[in-house]
Amino acid sequence: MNVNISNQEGKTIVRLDGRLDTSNVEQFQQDIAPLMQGEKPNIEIDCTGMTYTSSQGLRMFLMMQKSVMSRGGKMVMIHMNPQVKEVFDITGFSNIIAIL
Amino acid sequence: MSSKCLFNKCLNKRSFSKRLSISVIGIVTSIFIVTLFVVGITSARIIEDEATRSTQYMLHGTISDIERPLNELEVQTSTVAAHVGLQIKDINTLDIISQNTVKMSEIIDGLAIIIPGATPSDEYIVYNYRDSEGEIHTRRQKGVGMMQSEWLQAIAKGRKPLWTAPYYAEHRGGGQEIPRVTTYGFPVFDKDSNLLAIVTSDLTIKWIEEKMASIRPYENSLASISCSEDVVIGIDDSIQLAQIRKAFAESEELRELSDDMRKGKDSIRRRIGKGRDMFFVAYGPLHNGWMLSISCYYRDVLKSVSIMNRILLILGLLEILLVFFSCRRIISKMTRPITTLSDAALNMAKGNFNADIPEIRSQDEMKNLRDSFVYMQNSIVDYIEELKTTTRANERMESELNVARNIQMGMLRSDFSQRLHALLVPAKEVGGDIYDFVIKDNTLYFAIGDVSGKGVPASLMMAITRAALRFVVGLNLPMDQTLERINKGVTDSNSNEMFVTLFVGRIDMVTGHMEYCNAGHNPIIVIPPDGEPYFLKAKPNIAVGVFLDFHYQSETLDLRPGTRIIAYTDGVNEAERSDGSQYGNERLLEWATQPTNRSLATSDKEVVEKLYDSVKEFADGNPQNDDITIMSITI
Repeated sequence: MNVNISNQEGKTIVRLDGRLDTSNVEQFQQDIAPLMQGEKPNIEIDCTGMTYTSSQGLRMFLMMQKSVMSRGGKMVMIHMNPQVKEVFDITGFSNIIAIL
Repeated sequence: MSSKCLFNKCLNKRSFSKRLSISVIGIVTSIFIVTLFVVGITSARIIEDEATRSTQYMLHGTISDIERPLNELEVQTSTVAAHVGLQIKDINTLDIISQNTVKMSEIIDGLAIIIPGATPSDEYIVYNYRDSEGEIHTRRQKGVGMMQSEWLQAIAKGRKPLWTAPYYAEHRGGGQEIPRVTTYGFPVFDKDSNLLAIVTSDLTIKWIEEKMASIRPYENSLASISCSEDVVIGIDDSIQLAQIRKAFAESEELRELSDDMRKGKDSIRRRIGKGRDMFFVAYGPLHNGWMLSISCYYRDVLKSVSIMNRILLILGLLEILLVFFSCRRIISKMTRPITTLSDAALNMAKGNFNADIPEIRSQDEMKNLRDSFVYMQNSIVDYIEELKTTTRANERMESELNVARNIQMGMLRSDFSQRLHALLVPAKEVGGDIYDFVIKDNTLYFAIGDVSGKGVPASLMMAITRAALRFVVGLNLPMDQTLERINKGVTDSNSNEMFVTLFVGRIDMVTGHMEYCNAGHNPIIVIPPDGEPYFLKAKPNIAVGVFLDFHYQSETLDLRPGTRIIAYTDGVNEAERSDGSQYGNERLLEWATQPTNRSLATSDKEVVEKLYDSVKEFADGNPQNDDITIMSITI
């Protein structure tokens, strides 16, 4: 899993590439640590390159969502491929995370 | 042990010192052979040149030594001849001249005055000679016909003096040793050029023979004077002479040589003949037409070279031996640390990690090697210690995990009925999957769930979930409320953002009416007795443990008798092969479509096992990376 974080016009763009599974979930947690601080974050997660997420990966997105909400910000996930979207749907996560 | 033997064997078979020594010897030997060859050839050339030069020098010296008496004799003879010309009528005077000359001359030891007559019978000869004791003998003879001899005829006709080839002076007679002489004939003419007399002087050639014998620049060298076709001074063995003639007749180069000699050329010819008999010859003419030659065999000339070569060869061999042994010694001494270190390595291989490594005093690569070796030894010792500690810790953790696994497995019911069976296989010692069921009267409560993640954290969440589940099911609430209560219980104890996907259902086993609620879990498969299997769609409730006050929505479905439902966790559909491909929903549905899997003749236990086998077969040995749970229920 490759994580690329950039800032554009006050928006934080997170580009994800590859699989998010047990082997790299810890690294991913470190990679997204900068997103867990700051007031009123505006985060857009581009999932174009993300091919798979395990339930531990889902937990990461849940943590981000909760963290963003507690700081009065917002987070959207975009360009999610259908297989990954299905996991979000089944677990009900698409109810609480904005997926465009 | 066997590897050690093998190692030692290799070491002895082709040791480094031996190989290096052999290489050095190879190089030294090659250089030596080339040197020997070059030195041999060069010195042979130099010695050959020197030998031919000195032989030629000797030849010229000898020629002038021999010619001096010959010239002297010629001068004396011509003086006598002048007197003879004046006193030709006076026989007595001629006799006195002859006698006096023989008496006085140191060279002439016999002198004849031959006066040819009109006929042979008129011929007159006066002859005086000195015998070996110095006594003078006189002979006067008439009508002997001596003028008929070829030599005197040649003088008479050629009108010039001539030498004879050496001959034995048998005509002197007497009981004494017959001397070998050569005779010079000088013709005397009158004013009208008529032959008056021929004066002949004898010269004993014993001294020439001695001289020839004394000329021996080398062993087996041969000096000789060839005076005519048949007469040679210096070779008195007739057999040897015959052999030389034969050789001259047969060999082209010897024929050329003999032509040269006849033409009176002064020269040298090298490398005549072959092998051991190869020789060179230096030759030069005397003024009377004789030819002096000195021949030397190369085997004698080059004797010094071959002796020198032999000495060089012996010295060289000794040197090579010396180099070989000293090389081996020096190299094996220098490489001894390698042997020592390899012994130490073998010692370490046996497990003796604290083996002493001998000190190396030299400040070179060997010292570096030794230091690196010691460093490696220390690192290994440290590493082993570390490994031991880690292993102990791991072992303790493992035994604790085994206990935890037993506890967790004990939480799962295994008293299945005819119409229900379940299987849970954790990926690690403990896992985060859960299943449970309770049968009250004719109602079956069942649940299947999956904690995010796996291992110890997931197993703790699983235990919490299971406790909540058991408690809430006892309250006999509708499924949506049941799930909300469980969610509250789990969320309260969840400070780590973990969540559980959970499917709960309640089936009236008489009517087949099912009420269910799916909290983010994989859809269960419904296999109707006479229709196609399908994934049961459910309202998108969120997983348990995420939001405290989430309102779950339940649904109902009427199942006809003979319907089979299969619940599972994502360890099934997300099982992976080594190429990264997943088992997938399509394959799962296809599996459910197979007649044996949907047939009621196949028990739920068999169905569960078959699905697990199918997943394992698909994974093809790829290690299981998530917990697998399968539950089958038949209405």
